[in-house]
Amino acid sequence: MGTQVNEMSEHILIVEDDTDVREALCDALMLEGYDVVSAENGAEALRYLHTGARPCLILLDLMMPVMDGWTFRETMLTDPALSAIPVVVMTAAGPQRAATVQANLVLHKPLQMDTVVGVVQEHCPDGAS
Amino acid sequence: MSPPEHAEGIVPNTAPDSNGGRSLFDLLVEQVVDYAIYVVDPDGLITTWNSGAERIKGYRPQEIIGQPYACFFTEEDRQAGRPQQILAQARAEGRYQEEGWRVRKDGTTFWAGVVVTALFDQRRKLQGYAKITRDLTERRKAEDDARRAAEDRIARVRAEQYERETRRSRDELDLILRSIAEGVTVQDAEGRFVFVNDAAAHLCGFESAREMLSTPREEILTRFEMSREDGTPFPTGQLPGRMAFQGLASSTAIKFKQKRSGDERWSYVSAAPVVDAAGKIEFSVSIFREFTEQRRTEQAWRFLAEASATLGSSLDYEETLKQVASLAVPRIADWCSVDVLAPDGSLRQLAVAHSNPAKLELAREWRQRWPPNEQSMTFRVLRSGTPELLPEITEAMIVAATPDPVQRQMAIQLGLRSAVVVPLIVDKKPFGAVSFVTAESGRRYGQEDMILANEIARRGSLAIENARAYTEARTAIEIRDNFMSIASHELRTPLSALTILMTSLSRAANQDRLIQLGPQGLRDRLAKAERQTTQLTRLVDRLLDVSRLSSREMQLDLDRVDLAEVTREAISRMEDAASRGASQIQLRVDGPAVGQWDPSRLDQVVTNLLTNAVKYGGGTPITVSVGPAPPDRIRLMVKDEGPGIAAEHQERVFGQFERASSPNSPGMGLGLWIVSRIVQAHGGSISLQSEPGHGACFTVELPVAPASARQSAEVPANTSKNNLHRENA
Repeated sequence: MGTQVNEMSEHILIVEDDTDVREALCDALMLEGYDVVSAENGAEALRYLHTGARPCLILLDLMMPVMDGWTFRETMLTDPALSAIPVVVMTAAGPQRAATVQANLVLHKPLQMDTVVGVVQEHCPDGAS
Repeated sequence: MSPPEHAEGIVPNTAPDSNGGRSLFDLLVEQVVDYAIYVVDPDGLITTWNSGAERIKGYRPQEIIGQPYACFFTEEDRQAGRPQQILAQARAEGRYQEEGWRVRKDGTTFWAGVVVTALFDQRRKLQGYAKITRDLTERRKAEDDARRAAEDRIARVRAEQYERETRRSRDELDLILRSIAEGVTVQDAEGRFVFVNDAAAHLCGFESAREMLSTPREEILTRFEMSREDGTPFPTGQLPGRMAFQGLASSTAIKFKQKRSGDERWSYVSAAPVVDAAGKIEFSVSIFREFTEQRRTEQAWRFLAEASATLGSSLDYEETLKQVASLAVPRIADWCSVDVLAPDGSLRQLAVAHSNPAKLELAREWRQRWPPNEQSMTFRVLRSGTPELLPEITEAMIVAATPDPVQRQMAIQLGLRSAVVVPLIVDKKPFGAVSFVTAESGRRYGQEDMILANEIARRGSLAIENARAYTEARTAIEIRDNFMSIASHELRTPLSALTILMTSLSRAANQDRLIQLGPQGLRDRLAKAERQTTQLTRLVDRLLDVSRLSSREMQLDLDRVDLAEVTREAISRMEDAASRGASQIQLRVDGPAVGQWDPSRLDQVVTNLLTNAVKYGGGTPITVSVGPAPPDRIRLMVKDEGPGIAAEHQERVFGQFERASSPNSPGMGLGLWIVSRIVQAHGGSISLQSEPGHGACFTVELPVAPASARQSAEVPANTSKNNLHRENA
């Protein structure tokens, strides 16, 4: 789990197994003024959510070891406490595979920060400090 | 009536003597007994009578003299006026002579030779008639007998000749009817067979015409079944032989199946009625013209066409060959089996077909108890690659081929008669064999059947080759597509980090927020960006390497290499990544680990194994050991304590583009494949020991010097589809 934040305040959860992408995204969003928490795979992200944390947005990668994005999303949807949290998928997988996950939006890698920031602003209006 | 007197004017040439005044001549006439000599007067009344007349005609003189001579004639002649006519003729011509029937006193008749002479006096006045009659009955009888005997003889000769000729022509006809190829039967109005030749008898399931003729009519029909061309039963009432009795000549094609032997024969049957002079139907003559061979040829070609269509219809050649075996039965064989060569050199029976399920069971039992040995026909055909024909399976052959008495008994029961075995040759190598065998149909295979069977096998082989080529091509396409998607993902990930870094910095610069980062923050980000470009370069290099490794020959630049050294360097390069994954890498060197290897390839082996362990060890400690593996090998072991790999995935871990655990795991699935290719090229081996939940240990063993220190190594290209990989590229 990266970056300690107040779990009750508005923050973004990034679930991404690739260290470089994860770190770059955390750095970029923090530079934009957001609080960010990151997880290396779906299992880790679920553990975090089960602590009661409620991020304003989850940026989710799909292809990950241990628990992939699809499984994570399905598990989330079966939990009424979590199912309402907005999820934006970021993937390098083709459009066909990405379409099989239920998400608010799918972003295709490589990610442009303008696009990411636009999405984040939509879901976390109070986040940028 | 007075005694006869000499006719007036007639002068006897003998003078009266001492014989009572009678002349010698009178005495002669009187006493001649062989001739009846008498005189009748002009009115036909008898005037003299000698003893010859009395003896011949039975009348005494006193009874007959004065009576009309007409009493000697038969009633018929008298009615016809013959007595008068004869006298008139004698009178006119002086003399009349004839032979004819005369009547005695007792009413019996005799054959008489008669001479009547008219007696005239000197003035040519008729005085009467002299009649001389001789009894010719004996002579006549002898003559009649002789004639009759002659006639009888002639008749007999003629009759004999006629009979001889009739018999000869009947024998000839019989011989012709018996020896013609067509079957002939003749039935009388009651339906009884009055003639049958052997050909017809054989068709109906009899050994000979004699056997058929001595069999009751009702039983004859129980010997065989008849069916039409479409296979439906043929009703007895519609047989042309039966129709002929309704005055109809007809012709039809019928299949005769003999119930006892199962022998099947095709015949055109035609029949016509034979009508007598009164127009009544006396016989029906049926002709059976067999066309079994033509029908078999026709069926064989139809089979070839259908089998070819089947062979081309599917890529599942095992299923296809099974269907072909089923198609062959019963059209061209009673049995058909397909055997394929198993990897261990034994024969695997892919299919066996017979129309009777009970017999199939027998065949399976046979196969289980007595699998084909090296001497069997099937193996011989497989070895030689040429088809074999056994036109006639004799009992002696069966005895020779079956040392086990139980097997022999079973073989004899099966009644195998003829066989053809043809090879399946795929990619120029023996693949299997197809056996066609006849039994109950009684069919004998010939050269033509062997040619047909071989053609089927050739087409079957071609279908197998095509199916294989297609499957391989499809697998290659799948692998390529899979690879493209993985490669795209792998390239996009560092590209994504790079793009985020750059666009983030660009946004900060545009919004004058760079100051927040400070010089150190800026340097950190630029270093990260540089690492991403390095990673991208490495990925592109690896993709190019894969295409080189996929080709058959891998070039090795051999040099003296210390594996411990190479490992140490790789670990130091990995430490950063390992620590980020919270793994610790420990190296143990158990002894010298020097050999002749390709240094850069060996570095790939170690790096890939370490990357794999870091990635899948899930932060657990990683143990690496290097040391000698006596007698002449060096061993490298990389062990993690991660979740491990399930047994069912272990075998496939070294395949191309495959990853264990989940298809959604990142990585191109090439790392372990590349490792195994390099290890193979060095003449070494790689293995995996793992249990789910207890980590994984990869062991590489390399010969100190690859075989004769080859500069290049031949490695089979691995395009296996189903191998699962565990690693990222």
